[in-house]
Amino acid sequence: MNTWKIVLSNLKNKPLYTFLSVFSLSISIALLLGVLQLDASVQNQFKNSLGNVDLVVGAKGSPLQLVLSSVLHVDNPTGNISYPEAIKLTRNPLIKNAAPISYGDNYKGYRIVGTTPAFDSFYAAEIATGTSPINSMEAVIGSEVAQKLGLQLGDTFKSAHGLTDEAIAAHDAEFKVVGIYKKSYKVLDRLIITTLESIWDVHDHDEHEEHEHEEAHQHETKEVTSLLLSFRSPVGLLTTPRMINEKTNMQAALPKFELDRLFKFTGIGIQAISWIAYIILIISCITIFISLYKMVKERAFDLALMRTYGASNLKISTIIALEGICIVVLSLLIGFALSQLGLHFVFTILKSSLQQDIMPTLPLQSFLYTVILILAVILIGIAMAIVPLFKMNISKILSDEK
Amino acid sequence: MISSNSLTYQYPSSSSVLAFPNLNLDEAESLLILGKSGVGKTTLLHLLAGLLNPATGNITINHTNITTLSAKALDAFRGKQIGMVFQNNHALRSLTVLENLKARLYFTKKTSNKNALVELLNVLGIADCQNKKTNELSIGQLQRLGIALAVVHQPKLILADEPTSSLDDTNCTKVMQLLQEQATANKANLIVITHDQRIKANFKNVLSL
Repeated sequence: MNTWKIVLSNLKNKPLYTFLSVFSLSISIALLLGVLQLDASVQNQFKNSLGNVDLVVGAKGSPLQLVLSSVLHVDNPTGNISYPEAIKLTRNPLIKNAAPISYGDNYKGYRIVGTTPAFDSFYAAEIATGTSPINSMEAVIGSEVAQKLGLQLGDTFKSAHGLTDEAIAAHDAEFKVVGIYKKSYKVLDRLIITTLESIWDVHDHDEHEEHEHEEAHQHETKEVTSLLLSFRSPVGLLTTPRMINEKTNMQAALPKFELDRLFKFTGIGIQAISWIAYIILIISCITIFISLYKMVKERAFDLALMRTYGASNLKISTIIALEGICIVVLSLLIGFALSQLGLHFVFTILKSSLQQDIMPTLPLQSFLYTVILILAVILIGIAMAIVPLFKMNISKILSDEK
Repeated sequence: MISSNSLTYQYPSSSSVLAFPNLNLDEAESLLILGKSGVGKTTLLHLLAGLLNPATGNITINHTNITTLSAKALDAFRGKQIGMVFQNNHALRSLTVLENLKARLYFTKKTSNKNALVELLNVLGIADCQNKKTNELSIGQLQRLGIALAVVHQPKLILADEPTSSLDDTNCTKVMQLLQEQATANKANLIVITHDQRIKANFKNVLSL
């Protein structure tokens, strides 16, 4: 016989209280930890996907749309810009890296991006097998694309017009897979990268067929969708966007700034869930407090008996505190397990809608803060339940029982 | 051995003071304290158990003056030297009969030997209930468990508060007999307070309050 055995028997003897306390507390812990981790993972995922892109230049329109389409590859582009004009911009000594990107086609829902070798250095991309595309109609594919579509080196495929799978019109030209990227947990995993020429060739070829007799068409200025830029120093970030926005017919958008703006909107939802979780936390604390407090009142005689057995006030307080702590520890474990299970579920859904693996991020510091907060709130509840013990009049309790 | 000297008690919320006659019992001597309700029988018993503090006077149990002990020392002394029997509630509800005895020894910081515990239950006639929860026992069985809990740690003083009031005549006789046997076996003083006139004949020493 020891303190633990008595504590466990007490918990077993009131299964409903124990169950309710553990249930509500673990739900709130799961929500708090889950939301925290989800928020961190999604933000991290987006920030990670930005790579080293400091600025994106595209056609006038919504800057958020430009960032979403050209950097995160989730929205439609704002329009096209002139390739020579874009190249003119890169002759700025403050610019470290510049990659024009051009797209408008997909293969089974995966976007085909025409760009230059500079694109890879924005994402520190490494090729797992094969080489970078050098000639027109050569493509290097993301790990997710390779895995999902079962594409291998040397395979060929035909692109379809548009950015989604539903696009009907397929182009005739065939792409050839010359390389596969390493898994990066970035947007790169679900892209098909090819040369700028490939995109132009595919469309020129089509247009050539459509407008066989309009020779002039071939000599139109080349266009790209946008231009990704990174700077050598922050000074470039201060001057260049303003110059572009004021002096050209293009717009410059700062991906980090636009994403922070986006998170302000989505943050409201996260905040709402957090508040609900805090409310459940308070309710479950009250449940535990009431449960222990009732235990102290209802079992006053049992506790008084223990005192006649030679147990000190401290010993009895320990027993009651341990009952509460058992519930808390159990709830923390269940809550953590539930949060991981829930996240796994959410990530699976996100994965199928974003077509991308999300790297789960554990924000250790805020995680610890939350756990400490939960423990602190509950320990206060336990302490409040124990206080009446020290005012307990054993003599009165024993004689009232008659 | 137990003695008390000019013992008085003052209720916290009133000015009335209860004064008690001096007690003086030799080793293994027993005493019945009779009195109507409200005369302070239970108060006297709780003073002797160290559950209440007297306004004046001394209580000496086995050469220890318990009125001078610290709260913690008093808890330990009560656990080791005193066993208490109550009218209705006798045991911890979440534990079985055997676990109750083990818990009783655990709080007294004594080791338990299962065979000895079962033997004690056997003497009291409830060995077959050892794995039952206390709410599965009859009143008579509960009172026997109460006795077991009061003597399992071999105390020097057994205090019984109305131990027979809820029992029928058959159980009353049996419980008193067991209680006295156990007191004798432990060479312990037995003090019973009651208004139950049925057990008067069991005692040589009777004190009326």
